[in-house]
Amino acid sequence: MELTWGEDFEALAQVARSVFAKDSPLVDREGAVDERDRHRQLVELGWLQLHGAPGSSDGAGLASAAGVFVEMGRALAPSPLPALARARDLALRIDSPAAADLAERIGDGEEWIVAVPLDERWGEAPMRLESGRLEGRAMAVPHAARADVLLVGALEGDRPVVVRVDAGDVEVELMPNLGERPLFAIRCDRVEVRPEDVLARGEAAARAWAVSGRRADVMLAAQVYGAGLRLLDATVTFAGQRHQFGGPIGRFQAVQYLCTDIAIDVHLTSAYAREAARVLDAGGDAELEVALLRRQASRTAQSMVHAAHEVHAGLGFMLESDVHLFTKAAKYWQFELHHPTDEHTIVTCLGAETGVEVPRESEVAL
Amino acid sequence: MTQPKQPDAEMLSAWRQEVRDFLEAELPPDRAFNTEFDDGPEQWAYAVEFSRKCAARGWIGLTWPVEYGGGGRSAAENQVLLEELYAADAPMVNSVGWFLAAGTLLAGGSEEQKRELLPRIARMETIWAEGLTEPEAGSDLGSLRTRAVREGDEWVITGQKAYTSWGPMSDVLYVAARTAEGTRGGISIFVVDLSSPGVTLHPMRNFGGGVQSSTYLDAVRVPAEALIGEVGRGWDYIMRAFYASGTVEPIYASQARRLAELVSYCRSVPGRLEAPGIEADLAELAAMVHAQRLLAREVVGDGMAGRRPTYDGGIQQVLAKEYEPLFAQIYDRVLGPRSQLTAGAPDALLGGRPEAWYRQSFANHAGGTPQVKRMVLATRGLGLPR
Repeated sequence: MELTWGEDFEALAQVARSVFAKDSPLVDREGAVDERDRHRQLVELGWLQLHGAPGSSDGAGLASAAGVFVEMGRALAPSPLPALARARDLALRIDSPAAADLAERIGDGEEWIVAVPLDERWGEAPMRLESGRLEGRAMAVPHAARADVLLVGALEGDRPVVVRVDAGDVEVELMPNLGERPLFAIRCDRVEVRPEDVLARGEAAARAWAVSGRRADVMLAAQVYGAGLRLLDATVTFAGQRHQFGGPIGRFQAVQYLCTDIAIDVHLTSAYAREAARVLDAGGDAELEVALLRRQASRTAQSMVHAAHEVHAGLGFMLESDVHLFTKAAKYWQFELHHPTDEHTIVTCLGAETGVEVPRESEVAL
Repeated sequence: MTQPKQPDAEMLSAWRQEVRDFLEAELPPDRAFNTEFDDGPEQWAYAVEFSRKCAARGWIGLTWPVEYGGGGRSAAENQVLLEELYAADAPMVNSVGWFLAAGTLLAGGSEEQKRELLPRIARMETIWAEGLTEPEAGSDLGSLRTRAVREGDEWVITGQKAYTSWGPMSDVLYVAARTAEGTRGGISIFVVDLSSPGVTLHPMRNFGGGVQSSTYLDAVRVPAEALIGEVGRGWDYIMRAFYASGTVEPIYASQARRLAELVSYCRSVPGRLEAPGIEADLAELAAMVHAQRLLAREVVGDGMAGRRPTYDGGIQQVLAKEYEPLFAQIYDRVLGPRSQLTAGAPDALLGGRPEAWYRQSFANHAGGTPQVKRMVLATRGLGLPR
């Protein structure tokens, strides 16, 4: 009966802590490190091959790889790792030599490839593939300006596809945002697609998108957890040092409640993420576990920064405080992890074999 | 004392099935404890009989050392057992003996006491009532006033205990009494025979449908060996029994079954699942169950591995307390206005049980209020100043 991270979690986290400490806005607000240098470092560290297909010898497994992402969150590091790992994960889940080659090229650092999933949350109509032409607009694609290749999600009729597109064939437009993240809108204006560049269709494409998306969300939640740990530490320290009414404000139960609120939400995010990683590493689809995780992690991203602002009050509102750096990061996490259909998914799963009712097979892993 | 063998997933699965088979064979649904804190004579007699059947199988004290009447099994197996018992609302009685008294005895009892008292709990021969709370010492247990004074080979105990559950049906009272000033070092634990001269119980009905008593101890004389462990160590024993048992009360298992019943009901009524807010509420309930189950797994796993739980397990304790009434409130919101109808009402849903669950959810102060658990998490878990 265990609920822990993977065997290599701590070892990876230790290395990641030292790597990201040198590339953190919490240490250097100006962020002098170039994205190309970050990419080079990821290749050298082997982190672009960190987690791979379940059951394969490729990668460390999500529950261990999370060690890197937790530390990335703890440092608020602006690494392109999640975007590149997402694309590689997608390619690994497509059964074709062309996709395998792309996965290898991402892992070796030969090409900068990012995924452009079907995502209607921004209110844009889905990208469409018709008569060998790709048409439409996708939003909030991270690190797309550096990309050599895009793996684009589109609909062909009503069937999902995964399409390989040269970045030079699409328009890329920066989307300035609160978190100052490198997010881009992608416009495809009847981009010609060769038959061999349609890497997957129908059920195979849908499954590749879904599983790689869930795995990416676990890693995103791991970042929320890491950031939350650091924010909690900063908030508890502040509550112990800031004196008002003749003593530290942390002795007031109202302030203690705010701090425990952060601890609870952050810890729950970790617990949910560990469970989702465990199920995914075991080859399960983790539809329920990831829906529950996203719901929690999205809420945590917001609740933790609001509670931290309340404790820090006026001092936290000033830019010389670090609190706003967490708040900026959290806004992206809030929406990236919020899927309006998750509550429907959770209810649909209830009572199924993987549901939360007591007679459930997955409980044997307790 | 030999260490219990750590079970793998297959062993746990087989164990869960063994418990489940027993419960299906031995527990008719209408005899479950799922409508009231029902301690009427007939139901109580049935509960005692049922608990003795569990005792005969060695399920009470599953993790205790064999030499003290226990099963020598792992905490994981115990958690699986408790989950199944809670999922079935099994009418187990003597929880004070099973957890508080046994935890105290294991933490500090003398060898003789462990060999004498623990097997009697495991065999369901002695039923314990709890004598911690006092009229002026609830959450602030350290301020209790009941006094124990040594006179020759006896202790003389005088004071008043409040909200003693199952007092009239119990054999002995677990008494925390002051033997000196102060909290640490000032409190000692005694086992008091409830038939002793000077013990008076005044039963009162509670909102959950059960009975709790005001217990008066008027110069009650007990033998020296009624002191459990050492003089003045009571506070440590209580804390260890409450916080370091490596066991989590699986209220979530009962909630999971209730949720399954609620979902089935919603699915049986056309349009109910699609009504505004229903899916969000059901997802909230599912998240509460999921969170508690994961945290229980974490606490039990930490205990077995000898790890100190994160924040001393404080988050699990807080959420179990805070979720209990929240779960009932959201549950009733999904069920709608019929949730207020009592058992036996012609139009009641789910046998009227939700009405009782709602009342019972206000008993989440037992063992420490949510606010106290928050304070413990803040100060002991996070290190905030007191």
